[in-house]
Amino acid sequence: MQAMEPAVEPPRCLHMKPTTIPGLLAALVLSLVTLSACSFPADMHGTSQKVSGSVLVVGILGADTAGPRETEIINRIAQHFDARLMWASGESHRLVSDLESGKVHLLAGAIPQTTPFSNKIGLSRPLAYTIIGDKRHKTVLAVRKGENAFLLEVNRAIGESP
Amino acid sequence: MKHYQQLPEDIVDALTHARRLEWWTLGFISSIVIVMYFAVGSSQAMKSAWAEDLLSLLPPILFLAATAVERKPPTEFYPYGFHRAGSLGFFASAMALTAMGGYLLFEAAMTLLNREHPSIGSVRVFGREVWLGWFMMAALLYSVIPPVILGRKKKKLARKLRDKILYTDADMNAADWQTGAAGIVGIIGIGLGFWWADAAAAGIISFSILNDGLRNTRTAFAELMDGAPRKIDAAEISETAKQIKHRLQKRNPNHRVQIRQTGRYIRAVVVPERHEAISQENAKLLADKDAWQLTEVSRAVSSTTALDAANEDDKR
Repeated sequence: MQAMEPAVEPPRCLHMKPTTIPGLLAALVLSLVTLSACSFPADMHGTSQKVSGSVLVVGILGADTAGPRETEIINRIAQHFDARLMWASGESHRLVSDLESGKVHLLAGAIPQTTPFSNKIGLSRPLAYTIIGDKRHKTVLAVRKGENAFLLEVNRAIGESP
Repeated sequence: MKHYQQLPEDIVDALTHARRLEWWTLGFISSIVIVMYFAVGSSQAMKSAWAEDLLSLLPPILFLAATAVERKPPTEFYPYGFHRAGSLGFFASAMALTAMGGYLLFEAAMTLLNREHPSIGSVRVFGREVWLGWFMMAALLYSVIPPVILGRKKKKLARKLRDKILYTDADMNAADWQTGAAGIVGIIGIGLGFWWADAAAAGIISFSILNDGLRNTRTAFAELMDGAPRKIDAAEISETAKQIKHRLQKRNPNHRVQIRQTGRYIRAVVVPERHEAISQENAKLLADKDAWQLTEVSRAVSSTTALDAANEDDKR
């Protein structure tokens, strides 16, 4: 984030209480102005920064390799961040917990949009389909919750949903 | 037969105006509820703001219902008429406001305790990736504007009409725009990377809503308990009621003045100081073995009788 410029307030603002509507609006406008200067939305744990020029750790749920469309998208993400790819596989609960703690940056492996993990993980836009039981589900990639800049980048790599 | 006295013209005008405002409110809030439904993501403040908008449909409905029936003539089943419809509606809307404050506080506390980090995705608009937070803020901004305008107008009318449902509704609208604004601040906070911003903003707002709700519930409780009329914006006895009581008291020494509020109207009863419950014999005359249930029989004086102590009661 960039340093804020020293506030030069005209004297007529002195009588303005911060609780009034104009006060709130002023705070809003001010923060919006500040926003345009730095990354918005930002990551809450800085995943984008950690991955940048380093390693992108991708966990695959329930399979050894990602599907072709998933692989293509993950490669695109790695390329964007100029990062080496590292694949992790294992038991799904452990992978989700690793995602929650930031050891894994991205989860793939035909995760349905209706995943029961949805309150623990952040979901991308749908990128393909999978059949579970006799129902067709849209599949997504998963990121750590609150990593909104990283999620935006993942969605950008997915592009149009099928 | 004239059951109620004529209302002054400006009060009638204000009532018509208030009813029109409430129809507008219903229309606007419904549109807000629909817009917000499509923009609600995983933002806590956003969900709360939506639930709250849904809840704030209640007071306008109650107001319209109460004003529609309150001046209907008494019936066999409602021999006192329908003035109390206002009291009942007030109680319900006060409870709704309290529930809203409580819900908001609970949700915010849970989010903070669980350290939930909200994820907000994006949508593709004309080939560009746009963060959903922007849409949420736009929806919230839309949800803020009508309540501000309507709420201010209603508060003025509510004071004039002594209408507590309308007043609670104005409080509800104030709560609406405040939670809307808190939602915007919360989403900006999320965008800046502060996971707690959203819940903290909602939590702070919830205190003032809860406070308004509890104060209104207290007054509504008093009204249903035949308490002395309360001020519209505080849980104190209203000046008008004090004045009526004082003047009646002066004209009727050795009497007690009982005063209470039914809806927006005030009713006063003057009873002799040594007034007792009806005697066993008299009660038996009227109710046979259920006599214990009958505790009072009063007789209203003709509408033009002087307000001074009735002579047959005071033998001085």
